[in-house]
Formats: sequence, C-alpha cells, structure tokens
Amino acid sequence: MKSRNAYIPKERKDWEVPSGYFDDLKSRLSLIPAMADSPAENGLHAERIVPAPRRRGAWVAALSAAAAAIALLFVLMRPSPAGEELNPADGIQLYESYALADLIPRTDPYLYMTDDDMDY
Amino acid sequence: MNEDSLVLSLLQEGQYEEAFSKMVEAFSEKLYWHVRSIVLDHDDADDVVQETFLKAWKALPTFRADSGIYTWLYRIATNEALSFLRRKKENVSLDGEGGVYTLAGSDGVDGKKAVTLLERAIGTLPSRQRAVFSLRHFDEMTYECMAAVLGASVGALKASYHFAEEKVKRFIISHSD
Repeated sequence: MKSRNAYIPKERKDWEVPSGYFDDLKSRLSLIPAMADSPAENGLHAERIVPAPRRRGAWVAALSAAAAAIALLFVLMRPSPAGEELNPADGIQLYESYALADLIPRTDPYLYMTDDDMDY
Repeated sequence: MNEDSLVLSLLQEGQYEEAFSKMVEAFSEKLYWHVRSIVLDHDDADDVVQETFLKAWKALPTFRADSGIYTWLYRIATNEALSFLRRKKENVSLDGEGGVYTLAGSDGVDGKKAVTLLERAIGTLPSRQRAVFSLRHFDEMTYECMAAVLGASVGALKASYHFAEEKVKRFIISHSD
C-alpha cells in the first residue's frame, strides 16, 4: 500500500514557468534599491530606531502632560467658594480689605447708636 | 557562514544594499514557489514576489534578529500572497472544465499530468491552508518555524496540514485514472 505522501509529488518544477524567468526575476529585484528610497535616506538607521521601551516612555510622558492639562483646566474653571468668579486682583484686594477691617477705628457714631440713644 | 548569518552581519554593519542583494540571490526562487503555491497563477506570483522584496527592502532597518531572515521573508511573502487573494476576492479553483490548467493527457498518469493535478488539487484548498501545505510539504519547514511565519499555534498548524494533505491526496486519487 502506498504511503499517504506517495500520492503527492514533492516537486513543483514542472509547473509552468517561462524560460529564463528566475534570472530575469533576480535582475528586476536587484533594481529595487536603486528605484525605491534607500532605508538610510528615509532617516532610518538601525542604531537610531527607537526601541520599544523608549516609545512607551514617550506615551507615558504624553499621557502625563494630558492629565496635567486637564487638571489645570479643572482648577481654572472651578467656581469659587463664594459663587462668584474672582479676578485674582480683586481677590487680593478683598483679602486686604478684610484683613484691615479690624484695624479701622469706629469713628462713625451712627453705626453704633442704640435705641436708647435715639431722640424720639 | 550560512545565508542567514551573512545577511545578518551585513545588516548590522549597515550594508543594506549588499544584504538585500544576498537575500535576492538566496531566497527569490524559494519565495516564488511558495507564493506560487498560494496564488497559483505565475503572473500573480511574480507581482507578489516583487511586492514582497520591495517591502523587505523598506523594512530592512527595522529588522530585529529575533527571527531569522528566512522566517521574516516567508512571513512577508505569505502575508502579501494572502492579502493579494483577499483583494482579488476570488478563490481560485482549478477544478472542473474551464479551469486555468488542463490535464496533459488522458492515457496513464505521467509526471507532468500528476504535477498538473497537484496544482489543481492545491487550488481546491482555502488560501491559508495552501500556505500551510506549501510550507510543510514543499519547503519542509518545521511546525515551530511555520508558527512564526503564520502566527498560528503548532497544534493548529498540524491539524491544518493534516486536512490539507488528505484533501489533496483524495483529489489526486479521484482524478487519476
């Protein structure tokens, strides 16, 4: 009994191929470096190819920058505790006003009159 | 020094043209037959082989020595051949009348008739299975190497080859008289 493989030829050389084809093929393929861009001209050199870990580092840096930008945006757009948008300059002015309030002498008597003081 | 080692050493020195020339000399014919077994038509195989070497040339600086040049080239060639067939959107079937190939003669089974039958038989296989069959039967590639070329597991490849071989054998037997 024939073995399984005996039915299937091992050769493909009888498949139709034009005479002299392989020499012609090699000649045409040899023209590729002259016709296509040289890998060196593309700026690709084996030693300058960024290895995978550095590419990952670039992704991490980009992600961090994006997160920082989003955080900054959140801080800037967050409403102030008083419900009003404060101009930093105004904020400083208000602080100074509040800070100085206790130091202002009570010189205006009408502010501190009681009912007993009123002349009805 | 074998072809792989020679090409690798040239690549490491940045001698791309020299390395490419060695690759063409060593692998062009083998790749042609492998591609031919998948696409079946000579002119199509010629197109695919050219495209394969063009892509290989452009990708040379990024070649990493984790696989040999041989495996790398076969991977490119196989992917190009399968992509070619997908683009063509036809399953080339050589069975039956009107097929591309015809029997050399009807009296007895001579060598040429058997090989023609072989082309027809391979033509009945799905394209990916043709790649598996070609690599194993003609190139006698190990399953581990085929796994690197085709991106499939060794077990799946063994099963695929077994079915392909059975189908080809049945076709040849049933069409030989």
